[in-house]
Amino acid sequence: MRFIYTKTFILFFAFLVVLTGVVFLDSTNRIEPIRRFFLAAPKPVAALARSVTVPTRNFFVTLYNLRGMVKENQQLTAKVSGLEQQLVELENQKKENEALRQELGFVRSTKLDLAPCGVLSRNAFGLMDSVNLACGSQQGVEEGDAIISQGFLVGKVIRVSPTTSTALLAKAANFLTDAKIINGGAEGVLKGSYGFGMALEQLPQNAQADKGWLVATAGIDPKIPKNLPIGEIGEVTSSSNDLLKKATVVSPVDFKNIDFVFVVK
Amino acid sequence: MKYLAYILWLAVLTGLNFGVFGNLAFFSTVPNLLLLFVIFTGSLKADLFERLFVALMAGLFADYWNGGFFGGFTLAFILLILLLQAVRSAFSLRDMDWKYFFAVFFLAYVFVGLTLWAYNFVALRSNWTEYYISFLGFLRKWPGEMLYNLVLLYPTKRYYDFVQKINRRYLEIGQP
Repeated sequence: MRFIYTKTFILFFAFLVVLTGVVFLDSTNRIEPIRRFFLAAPKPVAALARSVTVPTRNFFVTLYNLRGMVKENQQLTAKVSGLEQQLVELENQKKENEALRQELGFVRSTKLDLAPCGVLSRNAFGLMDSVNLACGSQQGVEEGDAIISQGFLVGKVIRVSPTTSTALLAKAANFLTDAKIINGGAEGVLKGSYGFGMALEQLPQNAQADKGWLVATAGIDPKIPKNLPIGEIGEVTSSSNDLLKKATVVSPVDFKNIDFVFVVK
Repeated sequence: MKYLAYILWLAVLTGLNFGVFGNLAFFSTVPNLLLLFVIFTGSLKADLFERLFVALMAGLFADYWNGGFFGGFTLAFILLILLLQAVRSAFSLRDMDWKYFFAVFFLAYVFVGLTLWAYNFVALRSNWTEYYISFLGFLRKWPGEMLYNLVLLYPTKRYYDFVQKINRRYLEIGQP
């Protein structure tokens, strides 16, 4: 008997038809309850498991990093002193700015319109470096919107359905956005680096990029507001012979433990 | 009822995958317990409809939780069941032996990875998505992920046996 007349093929074909239907309906957002069910059903088990694994992991990570933490603590103390000094200067500048604004009649820049979103699932199989969010077009989320956590850019929305959405994390290989170094003002392209971190590429070779300098969005992408903090320069990875400069960007946000984000509408 | 039970067991497995192993990443890789469950189902179960049903449901959980272009895991899992059926027929195996099982695992693992990549690649080329899993990305994650999956092969087998035992005892389903 030919294979196409066998029960195996008929069943296989039927399942392929079902799959095609599901893919089509999902792409047109017509099976939102099913999508929500598949995302929500494993949540209780996941939450219960996380309540055990996260503290356990944190305990061992803390033990492992204890020596490094003492050194880091010293560095941070020094950094805090420096920042406090900068803060005083900034406060003075702020007051001066306010006075000038009032004098010139400038309108204060509008604040960001943020939509709070819980994270339904996060990079469950280590392939996409993406997160599923519990808010969608009904909450005003649109494709391309930036998502922030602890005030830092962590990704952008790539897919929206009425009540859920998917965002690509900034450390994903496919992630791209414009960015600039705050101090020097040099603009480049921020790219994810296969889940390992971020890199600021295509900087002019003469651009200065010192370790610790703050990196923020440049505002070229109309969906991503200007001056959203991204992280700080880690190290320059390109050589002086390269045409363009490249540097790693370190985010203070732990991408593995993002449970709540804000979508910048 | 028996199919609802499978959905429940797969939801538990997805929750464990994310809740436990998502926080215990090994070289930035996370295991795929659903894939292991489908390999066991495809290798050990008798009823084809049941195997395909498990593959479909496991694939949907994986696709929704993965967040990439939808359908890749589901297609790969369904095709995997067909491939395992062919392997079973070719080698006249009713139940998989462990010594064969490692070969089957390797074959299934590479097959699912390639199918997933090819599906995403087609989606990208067809302009259905602009975000896909690159082959380089796959290659970087394969060794660590395969090792992690291998470590969890036996615990997943125990889970699979437990599911079958519960199903047989309380829901009168599973292997005859």
